[in-house]
Amino acid sequence: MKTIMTNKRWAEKYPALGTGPIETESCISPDYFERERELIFRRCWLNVGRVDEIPERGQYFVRELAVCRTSILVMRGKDSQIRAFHNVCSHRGNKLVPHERGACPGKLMCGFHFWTFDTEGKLSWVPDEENFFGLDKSKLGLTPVRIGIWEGFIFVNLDADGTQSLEDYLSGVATQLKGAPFGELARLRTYKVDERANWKVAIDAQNEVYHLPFQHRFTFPDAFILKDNKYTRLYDVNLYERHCVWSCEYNPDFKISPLGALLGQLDATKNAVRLNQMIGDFDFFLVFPNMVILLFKAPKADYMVTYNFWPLAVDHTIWEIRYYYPPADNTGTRLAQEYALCRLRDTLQEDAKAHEAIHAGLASRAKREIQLQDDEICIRFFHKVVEDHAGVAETLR
Amino acid sequence: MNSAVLPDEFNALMPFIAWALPTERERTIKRLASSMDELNGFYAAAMARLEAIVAFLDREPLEQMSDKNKPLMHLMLSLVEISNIVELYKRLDKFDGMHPSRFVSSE
Repeated sequence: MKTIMTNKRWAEKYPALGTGPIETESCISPDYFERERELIFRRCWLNVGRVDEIPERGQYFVRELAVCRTSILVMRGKDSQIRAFHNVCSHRGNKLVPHERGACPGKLMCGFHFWTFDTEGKLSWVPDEENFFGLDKSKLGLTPVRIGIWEGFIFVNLDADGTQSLEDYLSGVATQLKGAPFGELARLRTYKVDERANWKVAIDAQNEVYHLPFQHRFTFPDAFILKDNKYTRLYDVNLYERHCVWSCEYNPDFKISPLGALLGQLDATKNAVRLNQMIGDFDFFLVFPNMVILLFKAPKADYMVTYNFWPLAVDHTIWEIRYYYPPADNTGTRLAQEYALCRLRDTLQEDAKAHEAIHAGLASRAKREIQLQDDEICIRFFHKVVEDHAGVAETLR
Repeated sequence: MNSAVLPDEFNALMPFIAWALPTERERTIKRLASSMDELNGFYAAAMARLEAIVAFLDREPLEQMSDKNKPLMHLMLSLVEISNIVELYKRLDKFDGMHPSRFVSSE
């Protein structure tokens, strides 16, 4: 792998994107956020979990999709099939499942009047049914939500009239990552971060490597530096309809810490999962609108981190971070995984602080646009895709 | 108080037994409440025994680790937890990120 250092090569590869500044009103306008809610989040496929969260029949989890103004129940039925429903009882509209996850022994019961649904969402029992007026239970099951499963990731789509399949929606991402052994990785930890920042500001801050030697000067001072030992550059960029991936290579002279070096020797895993679908040493897939899949090559086994950015309001976002590693089969491996996790976690805390600082800066309207260099092309592309869905923000005078 | 004990072979680490914490949340809270001298002291003592501890724990399969050995594992996870400060930042006030308490973790 050898990163080409030619200047401005991504603009040459994707000339239609242009090279001008990007407007910022779309990140701070409450009106624009409402457009995003309707035209992006209620229309696009959204990742809400993985199949390994509900491996057994009758297991379920609930995701509060505040941006779509609904709560979603994802459940593996007695027939083993995974379905998604609005988490709303057919009787009076109460929230059916008030907790985050669980397993049902064959039925789900609403706490209000004990209306009862089976694991396939059908209404199976109504207390004192004889006192209702011609109730047709067969028509009063839970309201289904379109669901798609890709490489173990569960997606839902709130657009009941939509026809595009998940596979088709994912386009080049599905092609690039086809067959990736994500199922051989296990979730080691989840973080949820409540941030006062627009969801796009948070994504943008992650969506380039230009900032690494500067913002992360204490946590990753030299891991990705290539040019004259000063800057980073991308190895490759691919834009796929709505989604994108950038890849970079590690600095081979990266100075590892004493504990990192020792754990590298003690990591005796025989579970060497390899993500051969990767492009570089570190791949960042932005799955539009709000999911990121990060893939890391590592000496003993590759691993994955995912982000989901859930907007609550124009200036309020929940950033979910999940770490996935091959299940550790010895102590050295477990500790080496924790080491990699903590190292990255600290950089993400630096990023999270920046999300809020950047949002506050943009909200001041001191700057109406931001400037992007060639290696920040995926930010440019992402904002173009947002505009394609939600339109151009009207700048306040 | 943490009532955990360590296997006899690693009795010398008993002064640091308060670091035998099972979750990242607890380890982070303890890290944030510690002085640089405390972190350096724990790091030096734990690093010196890391290889021996890994060899000791690997006498049984990781998945079936006996309860009596778990405090030792948790102690080593705490060594990892504090290593960024000791090895990279070297000072408590150098790291410039969002307060770690806002990264709410679940295992």
